[in-house]
Amino acid sequence: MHPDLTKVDEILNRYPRDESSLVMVLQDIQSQFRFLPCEALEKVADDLAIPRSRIFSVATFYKAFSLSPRGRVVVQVCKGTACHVRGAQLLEDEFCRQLALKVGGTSADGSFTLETVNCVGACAMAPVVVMGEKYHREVKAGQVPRLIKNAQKAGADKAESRSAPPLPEYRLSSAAEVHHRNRMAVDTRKALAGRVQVCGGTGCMAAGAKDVHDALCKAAEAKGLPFRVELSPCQHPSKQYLLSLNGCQGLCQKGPLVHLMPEDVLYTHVKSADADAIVDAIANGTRVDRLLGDHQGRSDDPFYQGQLLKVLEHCGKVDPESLDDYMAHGGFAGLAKALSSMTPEQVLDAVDQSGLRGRGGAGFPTARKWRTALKASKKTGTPTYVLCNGDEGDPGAFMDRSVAEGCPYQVIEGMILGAFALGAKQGYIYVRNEYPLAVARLQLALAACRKVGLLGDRILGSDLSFDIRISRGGGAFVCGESTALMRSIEGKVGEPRAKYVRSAERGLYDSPTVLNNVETWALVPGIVEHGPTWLNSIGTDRSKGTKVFCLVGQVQRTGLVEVPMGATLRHLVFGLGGGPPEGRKFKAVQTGGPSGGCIPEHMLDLPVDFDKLTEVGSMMGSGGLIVMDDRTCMVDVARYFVDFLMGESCGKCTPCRLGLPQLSFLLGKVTRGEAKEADLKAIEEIAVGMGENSLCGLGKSAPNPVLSTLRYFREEYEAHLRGSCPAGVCRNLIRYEITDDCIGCLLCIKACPNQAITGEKKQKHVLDQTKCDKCGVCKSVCNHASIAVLPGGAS
Amino acid sequence: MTTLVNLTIDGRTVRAPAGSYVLQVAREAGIEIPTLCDHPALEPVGACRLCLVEVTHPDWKGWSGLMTSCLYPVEEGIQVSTSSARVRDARRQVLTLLAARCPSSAAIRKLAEQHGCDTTLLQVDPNADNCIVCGLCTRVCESYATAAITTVSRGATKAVGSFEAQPPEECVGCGACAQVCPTDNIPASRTGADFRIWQRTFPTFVATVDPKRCTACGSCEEACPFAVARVVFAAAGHHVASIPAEQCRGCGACVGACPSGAIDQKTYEWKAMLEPVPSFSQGGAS
Repeated sequence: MHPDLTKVDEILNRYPRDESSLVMVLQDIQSQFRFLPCEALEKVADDLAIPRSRIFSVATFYKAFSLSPRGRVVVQVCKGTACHVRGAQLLEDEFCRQLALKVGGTSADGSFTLETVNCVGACAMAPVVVMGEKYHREVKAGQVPRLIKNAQKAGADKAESRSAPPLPEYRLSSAAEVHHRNRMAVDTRKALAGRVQVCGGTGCMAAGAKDVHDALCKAAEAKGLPFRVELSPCQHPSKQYLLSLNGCQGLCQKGPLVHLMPEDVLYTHVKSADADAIVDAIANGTRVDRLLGDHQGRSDDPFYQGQLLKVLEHCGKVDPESLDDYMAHGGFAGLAKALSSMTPEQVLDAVDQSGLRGRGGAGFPTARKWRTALKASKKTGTPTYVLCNGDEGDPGAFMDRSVAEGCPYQVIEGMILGAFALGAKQGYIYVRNEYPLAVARLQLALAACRKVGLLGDRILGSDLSFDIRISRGGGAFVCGESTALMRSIEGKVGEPRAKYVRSAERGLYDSPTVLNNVETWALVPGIVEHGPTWLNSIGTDRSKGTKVFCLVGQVQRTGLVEVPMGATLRHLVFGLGGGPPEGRKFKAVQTGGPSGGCIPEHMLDLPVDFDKLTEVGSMMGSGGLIVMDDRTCMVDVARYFVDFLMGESCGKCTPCRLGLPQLSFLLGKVTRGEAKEADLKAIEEIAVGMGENSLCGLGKSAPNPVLSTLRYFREEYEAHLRGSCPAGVCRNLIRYEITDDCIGCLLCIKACPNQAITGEKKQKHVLDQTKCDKCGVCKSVCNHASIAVLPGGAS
Repeated sequence: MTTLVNLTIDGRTVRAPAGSYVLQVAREAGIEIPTLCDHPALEPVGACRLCLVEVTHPDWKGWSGLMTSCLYPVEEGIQVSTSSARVRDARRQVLTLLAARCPSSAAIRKLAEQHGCDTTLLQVDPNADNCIVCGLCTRVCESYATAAITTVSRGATKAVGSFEAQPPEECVGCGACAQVCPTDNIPASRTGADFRIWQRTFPTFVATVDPKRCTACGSCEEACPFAVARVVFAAAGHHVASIPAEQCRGCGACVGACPSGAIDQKTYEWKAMLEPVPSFSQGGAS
């Protein structure tokens, strides 16, 4: 069957006809045909005048693309760190079994494709499975057959979408008009009787937040309570309530969340069926106690109390799709201030004095980067590009996603301020392919900004002309590396280069380029509006301000948090997160993603800032904090990261391309109990060599998880040499046994894929060790905790 | 005007134009640095990591780092070591991985032996091919030929291939890729007058003699730089020039030398075309 090439033409027409459009054109072709047909690729090669080989290279480099047709429903089992420590491997195995597919395979009738994906950024609800475009949270192996059946019935789930709200009708042509608009927006909201804010973060959405939002709408209408979903400043909304689906409110574990303002009532675990009760309570001025949980609102919940919100100040409180709502929270006041009363140099000075360091992980001083670019730009006469890195690939991290989805205007305002300071004309926001909602919301926000005159020619009547384009990633972790990201924007394979000439001097299209992370840009408006002390009055000596973290893994309260720099890990893990669940023993916290390390319990009082984490062999990274308790095997974690990186290495340089498979091989031997002391030495030798010899930051930091676990948890490695996995994870070194608590419910017998369990109803079941392949499905379905994991392999 | 900077390499003071790369400067000074992905006719990329050197600078307060010499621009006052313990470790570590990857490559084996590599504990596939993904073939194809081949996929599975893994239509059979390959991993063969590469066949159009016009004057024999053309006593009982197709290098010297226009040649032989470009140096092996 030949693909309909007129569709390819339509796709090509959406983008400029040059190489920079390649990745996005291929993405659209992929979603049109569910794969990249050969004929379509040839057409793209002709139209964009790119050699066919280069297109093939790009098509095989990025994971988002497939060269053979994908199934109607694509099942993506998330293999992010948080999902891994909460049992994603079990899910992967179970999906393989139930669909009779290998990972990457498509069923013969074309109904399913099974894939694993390196973190979908919904870590607080781990383990996560995405089917079609729908997220399923906290999936258990026992639910897999039902999920498959439902998907078969429904076909591909469509993403929950609502029609895009209309663009604003007005134009802002001066700073004074921005201030006027701010005041108007505040006034209309002051007159409201209240706000009903449904959390629309990924976690809550996966738990049905959209349905809750719609049900609230319907219930309010039925009961005659004046709910509005949109508000224009000329309305006089006294006695009215504003209902909105906002960005992430943080406490993902308890979603869907509904927050009522100004009363500060936080309803948790809300279902659509609760809508009537909530609306009734609002009408009667009461509360629905059963939805409150242990705490009434944010103000008395330890999860929120221990936080300080700067980046997330507006996230979850503003409607991310409404420019006016952002204006009501002081939006673009910083830009208006800069354009009306500051010079570019003063903006730069403010950023400098604030002590802002890049939030992407390495903590490079932002102002120093800006000054380098400015100098290079003046020297060469080429304008600087302003880039936003939203390629949040670290598994276990979703800060950037939450900020981009929750308050896209804040990021855009930061970038415009950057453009003003740097004299830039063009900006790009590079967003991961796995974050479609972030792309949609940023696109909407950019359109609104263009419409009102906050982007484009002569912004707010000043001399600043600047616009921003969105560049979507293609599913490659390495593209978070600055030089690889720039190559990806240029439409090329994302291979990093040596950084002896910094990107600030010669980056995108060989021009001076400032690349900052989403969180960094989101801090700039506050610094400009309130002055440098807004940031530098908080934090430690050399790390100023706050840091957003994703608190995930084996911890009671997972979610998105923001704390001052210098807060201790103990505060984060135990104060905010409540420690490991079910009274388990804390073992380690992993920071910095695959480039970071595992920090043991005796270092929990470490104040978290850029330098302290590097000192102990980890790094800040973008801010994922994956808590691990005594059920996590550190050797398994090390191997997990090595395998993760093996799939994500670009393959350009020898140590990374060949070192990771060798590490995986050797760590595999350890987890199977086949390794000797000499193998540990070989692991160390390769790991140290990779750190020394690799070309880019990814390869140089890739051995950190191995080296840090070897450093702090060597006794666990040594236990494996002796044939034991203390955490009960490594399959060759454990055995399952049915305990006397077994009530004989038959559940495990039905679930066991190998018929290894036999027994009668109401009698203790029997497990045949010779048939057991240690998949662990029995334990996951058992409701009576009567399947034990014992060390030492089959007895 | 190019400014010159002073630096030291292994203790020797060297003057070099600012902006030139350490590798190039060292080689010009007669100091050998082993490489696998470098070629004088191609832009350096820093992929193989064999050319790492240790660099320090008076301003670096005693700190020194491993730098990619093929990409590191010389600066005033830097001190380069091409044989410190750290550099030797780096080379050994890189070559150990390569030796485990392609155990049947003679070139890699030789380098690995010289650097004392030990692959006993590593995973070694005796049937693996010899591609080290240095990218020389794809870069030479893209820079000088038709971009017929490319790197495919990423990470551990990265390989050299062509569009949709088909015999590349764009290939012109120049053979440059096979010529630059440091591990002789690109199969290219000549059978009779046919050159086969990337599953495609290219006629090589070697010199052919028209015996009717040949006067057996011997001009071709004199002109042939490879001693291939010779005047022989033919079975028909008279002398005639003979240029065996399988030996002809296709340089065309005889065509110009023949006074009677008896020799015809349609194009060149593949390896000869590349002679003007300096051939791949196994310098690292020395």
